[in-house]
Amino acid sequence: MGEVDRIIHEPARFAIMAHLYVIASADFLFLMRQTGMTKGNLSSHMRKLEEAGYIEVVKEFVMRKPHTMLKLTKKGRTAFREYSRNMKQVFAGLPA
Amino acid sequence: MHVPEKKNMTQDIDLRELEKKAWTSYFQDGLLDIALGMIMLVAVLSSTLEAIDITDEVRVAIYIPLIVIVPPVIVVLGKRYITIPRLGFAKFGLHRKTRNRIMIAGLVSLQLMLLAMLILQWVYGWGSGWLGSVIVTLNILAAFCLIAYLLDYRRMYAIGILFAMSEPVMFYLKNYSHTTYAGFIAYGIPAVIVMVMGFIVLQRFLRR
Repeated sequence: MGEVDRIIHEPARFAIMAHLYVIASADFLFLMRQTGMTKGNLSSHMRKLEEAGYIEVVKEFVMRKPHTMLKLTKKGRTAFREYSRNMKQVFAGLPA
Repeated sequence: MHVPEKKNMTQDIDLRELEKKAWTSYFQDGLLDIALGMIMLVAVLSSTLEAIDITDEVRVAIYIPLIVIVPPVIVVLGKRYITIPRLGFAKFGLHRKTRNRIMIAGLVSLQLMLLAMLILQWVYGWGSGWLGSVIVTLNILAAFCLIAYLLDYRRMYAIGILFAMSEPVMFYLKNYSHTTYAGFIAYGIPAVIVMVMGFIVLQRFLRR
């Protein structure tokens, strides 16, 4: 059995990763609405994922307002796929 | 966007649902419904102008700009100033882009079929009367079903049925009841229903 990625294993971070896995990119507000997280919560998990190199965060100004776009990196996409495979193996091995 | 692997079914279903939920959240503002209702209101205006003997050229000059400009402006400005500040912004992947392209190609094909029918009607008189009405009804229904299916926008099926029904209703009222309110009844009722539906959805969206 492969090792479970603890960064993705946390439910909030899993939700962020899952959303970014199926959407090309999304802004902070969109992810907040979709995951139901608070600003602070999303922000801290976002930082952890960014530090791990799983997501790319682009900060810019749109109409003089700060705007943060998030996107899954290649490493993040691979890690998410790997995580999914490992979790499946875990449950596939459960006795009936 | 990543195209999910075929063998990974459990993950596929869940992730597809997640993507669909994110995608359909953009239609929770009711703006498209309001814009479509507006198009039908323009049809009411056009039939009213016809009833008071305004020439075809003037009618076309009035309603074509209204159809081409007003509904897209409502959608674009509404998305920019109402939806995105509340819902956020997301770029969807290749899967959605492909579906949108198929939808546009399908709609263009349906419009070309309709145009061909109008030309045949104009040159040979073929497809006039009830047959023309049936073809237009089916064309409208097909267009809305295509949009509803490819955009995953379920309300569009209901809107399509309402709009498609307006054509045979108009045909019947014009040819058999001879009422002067044919346009109001045939186009006005579905327009009002769709717009009310849109405003209710918009109000719910704003309250959230």
